[in-house]
Parts: sequence; C-alpha cells; structure tokens
Amino acid sequence: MLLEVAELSVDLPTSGGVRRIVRSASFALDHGQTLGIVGESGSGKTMTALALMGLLPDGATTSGAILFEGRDLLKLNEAQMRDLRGDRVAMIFQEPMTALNPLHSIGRQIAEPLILHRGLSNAAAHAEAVRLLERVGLPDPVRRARAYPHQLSGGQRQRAMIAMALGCAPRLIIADEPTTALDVTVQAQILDLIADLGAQSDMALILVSHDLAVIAQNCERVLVMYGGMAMESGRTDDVLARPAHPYTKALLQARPRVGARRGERLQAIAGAAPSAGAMPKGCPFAGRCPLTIAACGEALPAPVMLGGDHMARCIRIDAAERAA
Amino acid sequence: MLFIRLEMAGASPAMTMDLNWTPTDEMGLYLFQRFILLLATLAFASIVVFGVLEILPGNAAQVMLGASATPETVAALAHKLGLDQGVIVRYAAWIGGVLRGDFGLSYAYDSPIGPLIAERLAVSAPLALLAMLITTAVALAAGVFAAQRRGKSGDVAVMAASQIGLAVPNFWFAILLVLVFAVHWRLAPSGGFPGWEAGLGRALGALILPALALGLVQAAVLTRVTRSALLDVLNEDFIRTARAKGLSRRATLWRHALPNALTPILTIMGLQFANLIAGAIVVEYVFTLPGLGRLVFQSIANRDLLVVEDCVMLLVAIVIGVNFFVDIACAAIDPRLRRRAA
Amino acid sequence: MSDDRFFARARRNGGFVLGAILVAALIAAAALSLVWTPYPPAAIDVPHKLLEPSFAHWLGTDSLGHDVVSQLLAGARISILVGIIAVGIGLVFGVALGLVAASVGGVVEDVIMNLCDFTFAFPALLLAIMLTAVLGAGVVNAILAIGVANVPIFAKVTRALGNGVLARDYAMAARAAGKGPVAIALEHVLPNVAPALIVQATIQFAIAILAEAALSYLGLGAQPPQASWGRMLSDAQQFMFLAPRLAVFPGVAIAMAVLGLNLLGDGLRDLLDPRLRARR
Repeated sequence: MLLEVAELSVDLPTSGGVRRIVRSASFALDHGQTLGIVGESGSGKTMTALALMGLLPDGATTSGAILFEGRDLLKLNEAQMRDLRGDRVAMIFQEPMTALNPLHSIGRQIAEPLILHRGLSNAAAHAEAVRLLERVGLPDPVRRARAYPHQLSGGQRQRAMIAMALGCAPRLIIADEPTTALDVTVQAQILDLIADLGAQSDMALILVSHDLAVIAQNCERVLVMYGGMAMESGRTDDVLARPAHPYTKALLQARPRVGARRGERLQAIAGAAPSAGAMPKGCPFAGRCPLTIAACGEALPAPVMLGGDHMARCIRIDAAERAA
Repeated sequence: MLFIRLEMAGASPAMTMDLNWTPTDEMGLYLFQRFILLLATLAFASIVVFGVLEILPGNAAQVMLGASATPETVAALAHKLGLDQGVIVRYAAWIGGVLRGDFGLSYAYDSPIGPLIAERLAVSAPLALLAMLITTAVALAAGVFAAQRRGKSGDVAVMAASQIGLAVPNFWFAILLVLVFAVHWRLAPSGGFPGWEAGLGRALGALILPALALGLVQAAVLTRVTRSALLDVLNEDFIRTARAKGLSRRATLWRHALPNALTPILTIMGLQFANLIAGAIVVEYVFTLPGLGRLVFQSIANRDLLVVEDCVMLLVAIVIGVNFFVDIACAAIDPRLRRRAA
Repeated sequence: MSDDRFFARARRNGGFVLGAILVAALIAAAALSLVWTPYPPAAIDVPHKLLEPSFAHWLGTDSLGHDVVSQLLAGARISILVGIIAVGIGLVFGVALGLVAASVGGVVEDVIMNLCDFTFAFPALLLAIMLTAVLGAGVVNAILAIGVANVPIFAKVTRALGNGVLARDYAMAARAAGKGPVAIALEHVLPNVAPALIVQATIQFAIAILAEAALSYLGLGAQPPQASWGRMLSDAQQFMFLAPRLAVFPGVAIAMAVLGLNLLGDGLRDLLDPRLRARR
C-alpha cells in the first residue's frame, strides 16, 4: 500500500473551543489508484487532505496514523515533512487565481520545487518547467513560462498549477476541488488531464470534491464524508450501485440530473449540516436522517463491512435497505 | 501614488491575454508614462507654491519690509525683486531660474539662494536618510516579528509599543532623548552641528539623536503597516502553495510573503516621506541643527519670501520625486501594476 | 445593533475603554479649566519661578512662575479647539468632495481624486509654514493649515466607501425609482459612510493635536499668553538643565490625549464595523 490512513482525527481550536473536524477517518490507496473524497463544505474533506500534506492550520492536533510509503507522517518532524512535500506528495489547490504567487513568473514557480528537491540549476529547472508546461497542454510554453499569473486565463493557470505539482513526479497527488473555480467547459479538460497524467506515471490521486458526478467519472474508489466522519467508502461502482448509508442515498438523490448545471451544491437534503461547535457525540447525520432513532445520537456508529471493502458507518443499514 | 490609483482587483478574463506582450516593453512604457506624470505633477506643484505666496494680502515688498517702511523703499524693493512685473512674467522668471540652477537672491542674506540651500542640505539630507534607515530597519524587523506571532505576547508587546509611538510627538521624544543622553548621561551633544569638516564621527554623532527621534517615532506607523500587510499576505492561498512545494516557513516568508507585502509597505513609506520632511524641520529646531528647516524659519522671521518659496518648492519636489521612485519600485516588484498606467 | 449590545461589546473592548477614559479626562480637564484652575494660567509670578512640585504648586512652576497644573489644564482647551475646528473643516469640505466624486464619477471623480493625491506632497506643517510666512503666526493659521490637510483624507474615505454603497442594490433601486443623485448621496451614501467617518475623525483629531503641538512648539501656533502644551515644551527646553521635569509634563499630556483618541478610534472601528480594517 502506498497510503494507509487509520483512525485519523483532527482537532482544531476555534473561538468556541476545540472542535473535532475529522473523526476517525480510515482509508487506503495503492500506487496508481484514484480515490475520491466527496462531501459538503464543512464535512472535513479539505482538512483530511491538508492533514496528509502536514499543512493543517496552526494549533491543529491530530491522532491516528497516516502511513505513507511505510512511514507515519504524523510522527515525522517538520524538516522530514518538507522533504516529502512537493516531492513525494503534491497538492493542486482550488483557486488557480490566488494559489499562484502574482509576483513570480509561471516558469519560476514551476521551477521552484525542482530546484528544491531535485537540486537542478536555475537554467535546467527552467528548461524542465517549459517541458512540463508543454506536457500539461499549454501552447507556446516558452512564452507562457515567462508570463505572470495575471496574464493567463483560469484554465491556463490551473494547468500551470498541475505542471507545478507534477514536476518532481510525486507518488501521490491531492487535488482539492481543482475545477470548482473554472468554467464548465474547462472543468472536464482539466479533470481528464489530471487523470491521464496520473495514469501515465502510475501516480495515485486523491480527488476532493463536493460533486459526486466528478468523482464518479474520475475515481475508482470513493469516500463519502459528512460532519468530519467517513460515512461510506468502497469501489465507486459498488457505492453508487448499492449505496448503504442513508446519507449517501440522499446524496445520490440530490445529484443533478443529466443536463442540469454541474457544480450545484447538495442542498436538497433536509436540514442543515452540523455547525461549528455543535458536533454531536453520535452520528453527525442523526436528526437530518429520515431513519433516525434514539441510539443514533448516542455513540459514533461502528464501521459495517458490506462485502469486498465496501464499508458504511450506520446502525440503521438494515432499515435503509428496506426503505430502498 | 501620485495621480495613480492602485486598484488591485484581479484582471478580468478579457484582458488577461495580450499576444504582443513582452516584459521590457511594458516596464519601459510604464516608466515613460510615469515620468511624464512626474513632470506634470512638479509643474502643478510649482504653480501651487508660487500661487500661495502670490495671493498674500498686500505687497510682498511691504510684508518683507514691515509696516513701518516708507512707500519709496517698498517701491524700490518691489522693483529690485521684479514684483512690479506681471504674474506670469514673474512665475516664468522664477521657474526658469530654478531650472537653470539659479534660485534667485536672498533679500536678508544678500547672497544667492542656491549655495545657501546646498549648504543646509548637507545637514538635512543625511539626517533624513539616517532617520529613514532607522525607520525601515526597526519597522520591518518589528512588523515581521509581530506578524509571525499574531495574537501572542510578542505581537501584543510590539503593538502596544507602536501605539505609544503613534502618540508621542517626535519633538518631545527628541527633547526626552536630549534629557537622557545629553543632560543626564552626557553621551551626545544636546544640539548644534560641528560641520562635516570636523570629521565624520563627530558630525554623525551630532546627527544620531535627531535621527533616532525622527526615525523611531516614524517607525510606529510603518511597523503597523508592515504587520498588517504581512498578515494579509500570509492568509493568501499562494503561501499554502509555497509550503505545499516543500518550502520551509522561513523560505516562504522571504521568497513569497515579504515581496508581496512590500508594495503596500513601500507605498506607505513614500507617503510617510512627506511627514519625515516635516518632522525633520521640527527636529532640526529641537537640536538647533543648521539644516533646511532652520533656514526656512530664519527666512520667515526675516520675511525673506523667496527663500521660503524655494525651500518649500524643493521639499515638495523631493516628496514628489520620492513617490515617483516608490511607484517605479512597486512596478518593478509587481508586474500587475505596470499595466495600470496604460 | 441595539444600544445595549453596543455597550456590552464596548465594555469588553479594553482599548476602547482605556481610550474613552483618556478622552473623557481630556474633555474634563478643558471643561474644568473654564471654571477653575489652581492659579490663573497666564499669571506671571517671577519671584516664584522654577519651583519644585509642592503642595502649593502640585507640579511646580515654570521659568516665568506660571503654575504648571493651571497651564496644563488650560492647554487642553487649545488642543480640543484645534481638533474640533480642523476636523470640522476636513469633514465639511472632504465629505462634500468625496460625495461629489462618488456620485458624479467620470472626469470629475478623477480630477478630485488626483488633486487629493497631489496634496499629500504638502504635509500640514509645510502648509502652515507657507501660511505663516504670508499671514503671520497664530492659532487661526495653524488651524487652517491642519484643516486643509484633513480635507483630502476625508474626501478619499468618503469616495471609496461611497462608491461601494452606490454599487449596492438599494442605491440602484433608489436611482431606478427616479431619485436624484443629491437625494441618494444624502439618504443612502452618507448614513452608510458615517461610521467610517466617525472613526477617521477620531484619528484625525489625534493627528490635529500632534500638529498643533508641533506648530506651537515652533512658535507658529498659539502665541503667549495663550496656554498650549507645545509652547510649554519650547519654554521648558530652554531650562532643560535647571528643571528637566518641565519638559516631561506637557509631553505626557499630549501623548495621553493622542493615545486616548487613537485607542478610541481603533475601538470604534472594531465596534462599528469589524470589516473596516486598520488603514494606518
């Protein structure tokens, strides 16, 4: 296994006290595999991704284990994490408008990790940056490398961002909502690009998105998060064909129909996601879930295995089955 | 900043691509446009300075000589100063002279004003530079220190100190420095200037307390600007990108955060320079330094209007010039600013 | 926001409370000096010059035998007077210019804003120097110079925030309903800009006190026998070796007044609108 996350919890101090924003999340990923993490905003999906990078906000504390290439990332010191970041693990961020430094040329920003991790000279790194820009499909890469972020369109910037992440041929790429800020027409191109380039060099990919359709098209495996908890996970085909958790079912029903606007938020589920400071001790979906019973609110539901590695955390799976 | 509004809104998609773009052209064009603007601003400033001293009630010669002067002596002085000529002729004569390096004649000193100013500038310019150096060093260090410890005790201490710095008048701080270092400990002279011919050490020694008084008080504002500019930048997404590349916090700060915080800091420094000039005038007075400020006061006391006019114009020109260089520096740092002038 | 909640939040804002106390003290000192001072502030009493602090003269006397406490109390009056008038000049003309710039837009806006930027080349002190060179020294000229320097600052704040208000839906709706630009500026823009103007006015008040002190110290502001903290400092400086304490008290008074106003301004900014971030 390339990556094994076991019982990962993240606590973040907020104005209303310390809040657990990721609760006992477990998942695994092998070389070349693709995993989608889907959830609403506030579900803990981005914090899970940042925990993998060791870039959680100041003051955050973690428990559990993140085994990457056999080492527990949570036990590494900052210098050891730095060596991994941008080299073995790379991240693509949501906002290509703001995720690039406006004062540095595109080429310089792509060259930076190459100089840092590969020890390339400035000239060699810049030549490599041009080759990377070509690989991510930017026309006229020599001039694009000299350009500044404000001179590129959103899609071009995101391609540059991908080139930056690919530079050191990482074993794992984490893409956090890589297409949310882009025009609909560009979204598919960028997703295909990430998938193709990942497959070419046997990189593993974690795609974080609020959009189940994006995950369904691009990921072999899926992890559904809600209220900081991994509600359901498994092969994408299994989970979509036979969703076990009431939340996943609701998600699928709330999915926009074909032809509807992509990127639509999952607002059709009744009630509201748990707010800051109000995290229940039981299932976070209790109350909003039509099958809620008293026991739901009392303890964190244990994982239930449903054949293969299809897992759901719900004490009402049987009832959910009958309701379907 | 002058005449140019720095609007930092993101570029719209329509203007993001320009196929004829090359970096050198853009900077060159910006420099040229900004230089034309500089000339226009200077010309406008000269009209304002000339105009304010022009609209004085009554006759300049009368003001200079005082109420007791006879009409004949007033008329004679007016003729000598060329005051009996038309406004435009006099403005042209003044500005034409200044451009040729001829600042006119001082009525009180009965000597050319140019050398008079140059002699005083030899004190004021090093003082201003020294003060600016102290301001920049203290403010950048304290601002970066505070921003990195946001909300912690170090940050609170720096912010409290800067709040006091904002409240303390620079001339009082100067007096306190004299009390402590000159009166109590006798480490530095309480005022006066031995002249550069007395040796670099002694001359700088006479300037160090005035520069501290000016620079430290000025640093209070700049510390706060540095801190808030840096905090803004540290919240930006590209800082997280830089860390995701594997850069250390330190490298992220120096390579990514500080350069981005520098444009607002430089802009405020440019605006502050006008206050520095004003502060230098006051502090020169505290330490009885023979600088430009003293010359201005003596000339006001002497009713030597042409000297006042020349000195004010010079100070205004320096402020405008400094802001020109600040704009150029900002454009050199931030490629987005180069397009704004077009 | 109800008044109750405003005061509840204000009490928890330490800087605001300290600022309010200091400003209240400044106003109280000025008010007290109108009805009572230990001695007449301008009374010269040469036989009792340079006295140490004592029961008769709490902070001693200066080189002409003026009672320092009486002078400090009376000096608060000038500071407040200069602050109110100079900020008033800035508010009246600055807000008018800013409203015109935001409402009319186009070339008019560009011209007004460029003129405002231009005036930053003339700090208040330089303006005062030019005015005194022409008109002679005095409090009135000092106030005028400080007031004129305030105009572009209020103009810029008003215009920047005014443009934001005008872009909002309710201002658009008012225009669509046929309201004229003057009515919109007064009914919609001004009330929305007012909190920021109050904050800015507090801070400019502090700057005006500093500027008056500097001008009076230089002899370009308050003239004898008017009591002024800046003038007290310039007198004290001549007797620094004999009575260094005289150079301390007026400076502390200035610093406390300015500190109070700055803290009050920062506190108001937090209380009135957390989104108004520090501009200094």
